[in-house]
Amino acid sequence: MSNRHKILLIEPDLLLATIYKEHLNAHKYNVRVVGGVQKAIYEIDKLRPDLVILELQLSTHNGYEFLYELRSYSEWQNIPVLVHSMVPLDDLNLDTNVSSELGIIGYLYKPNTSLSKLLYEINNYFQLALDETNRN
Amino acid sequence: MKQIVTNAVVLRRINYQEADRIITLLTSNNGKITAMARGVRKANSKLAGSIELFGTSQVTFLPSKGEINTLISARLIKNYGNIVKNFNKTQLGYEVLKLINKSIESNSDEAIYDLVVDTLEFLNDEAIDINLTKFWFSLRFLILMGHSPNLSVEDSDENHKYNFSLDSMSFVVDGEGLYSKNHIKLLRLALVNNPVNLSKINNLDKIVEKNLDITRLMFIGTGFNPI
Amino acid sequence: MTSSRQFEEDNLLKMIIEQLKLPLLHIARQTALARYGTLTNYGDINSIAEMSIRMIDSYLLTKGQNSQLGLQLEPVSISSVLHEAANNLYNLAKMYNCSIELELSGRFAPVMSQKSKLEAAFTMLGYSYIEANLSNSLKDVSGRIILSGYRSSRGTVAGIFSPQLEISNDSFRRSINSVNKTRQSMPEMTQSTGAGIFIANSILNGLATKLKVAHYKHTSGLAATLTPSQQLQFV
Repeated sequence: MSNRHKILLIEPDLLLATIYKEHLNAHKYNVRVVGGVQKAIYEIDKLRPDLVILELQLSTHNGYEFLYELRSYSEWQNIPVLVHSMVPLDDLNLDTNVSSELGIIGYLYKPNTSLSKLLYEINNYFQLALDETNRN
Repeated sequence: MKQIVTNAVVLRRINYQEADRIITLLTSNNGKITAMARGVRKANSKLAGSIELFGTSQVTFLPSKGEINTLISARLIKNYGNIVKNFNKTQLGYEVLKLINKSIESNSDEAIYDLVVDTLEFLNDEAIDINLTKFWFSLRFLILMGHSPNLSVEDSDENHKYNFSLDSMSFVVDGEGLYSKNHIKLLRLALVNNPVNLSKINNLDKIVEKNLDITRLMFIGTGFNPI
Repeated sequence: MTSSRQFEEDNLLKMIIEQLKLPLLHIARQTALARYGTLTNYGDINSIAEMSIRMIDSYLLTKGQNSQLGLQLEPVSISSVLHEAANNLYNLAKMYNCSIELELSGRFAPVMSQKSKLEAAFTMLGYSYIEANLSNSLKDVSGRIILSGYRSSRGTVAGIFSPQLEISNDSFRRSINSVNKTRQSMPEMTQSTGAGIFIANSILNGLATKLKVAHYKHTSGLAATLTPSQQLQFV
């Protein structure tokens, strides 16, 4: 199932970034970590990730700005983004239209998302994507 | 052809080829234009400062015979940096720009430009409630698009309830109504006051939510989506 | 207490509660990783827990509730305050790929103040700076946190400086006056709430001074001016 999918993790906190990277790498994902929006844009160019995991609460530019910048590139319309954030869902204006426009495939509230839950959601996404590809 | 210098707000940008950007600008004197900004996406300037969103810039462009003009230069006049400190304000800011971009044709007048700049200014002001700015912008936008509500009510009983009729774009007395005289008063005040002044109203947060509902209702049938 | 002061205090408390989610999350996820058999550095978990407890204690100092630490003014050496703060920050800084440097220019006359409060203020300020360096540390650039003391015409300036982090005076003043109005009060500096800076400022306000943007050897930072005791200078 995992087959070394490439994940770009946008996580400003070094300790959390190390933990998530270690956990996901141990489960056969290839994880690259960046701390901010500028670096993320460069890495997407180089890495061509299969999934982006995004913390919205960043310094300098916030996660929304990253999403609008990402979608301003015609070649990056289909890169899925999983929001994994310290910001509670109630604090965000993430209705279905906005989520769909910005290519957000899911939202996870970090304090309530254990390592196993994060892994489950990622595995689930890739499994569904594979099923969809097989159907087509 | 002569270069044009004008103030502008960026409504949208699309990255094009290796280093270029196609930018949609709302200008103060020249309506909505599209311009090609060449070479702005070099390796160390992918988020070029002077053409970031949520700011006003002085731009110089060369008009073209076709749709896409050429951007010669851009100098940032004001950056509304506080907007991005708040997620909901960031989201609202983007929605405002998107709505304006979708709604406005190339020859818009200065009133639309002023509305956008004022809205960004009020969003940037940390003392002003986001819902108030959203309500104020929605109402002013609808009026500029030719969808003014009729805010006169016949009776003077302070305790009456009202509903908003889409057919007549006015308030009608209804015992089961959702709105009070205070909601109508706020609409009247918002026609002639900005959010800085409106913020001084007592218990504003109790009525502004419903006023937002009213403006959402007003959008129905206009062809525009409410923000 | 006036209602606006109460409102500010409530906002500071909310900010701290939000801030404390992060170290607790660190502890939870680190220990979870240990269950998968990955070697976990328990020293790191200890450092995180200790700093969180310091944050709570520092907040309580702003309310003057911790009577064990005493409320009497005393002659305080700025050098020893900054030394102590540097010691408190050392382990955490190492975890986050930052270096702690102490630069004291010359000798300073003692100030009449409260040593424990000053130590808490500069420790909390330093904690915010370390946290702010987290996103920089991912660039494989080691962050430098400089605790500095120097004399100025108005007194002794003590503060924290970092070449990697800049904040303008206008931006800082606007942020410090709007406690908890947004989730990120100083996004130019840090992705978190920046509660440490607000706690430090609140403690220093109680000592008749405040944080301001300052410059030291071409780096900018946040510092407070403390007035040396005229009487002690003659002792």
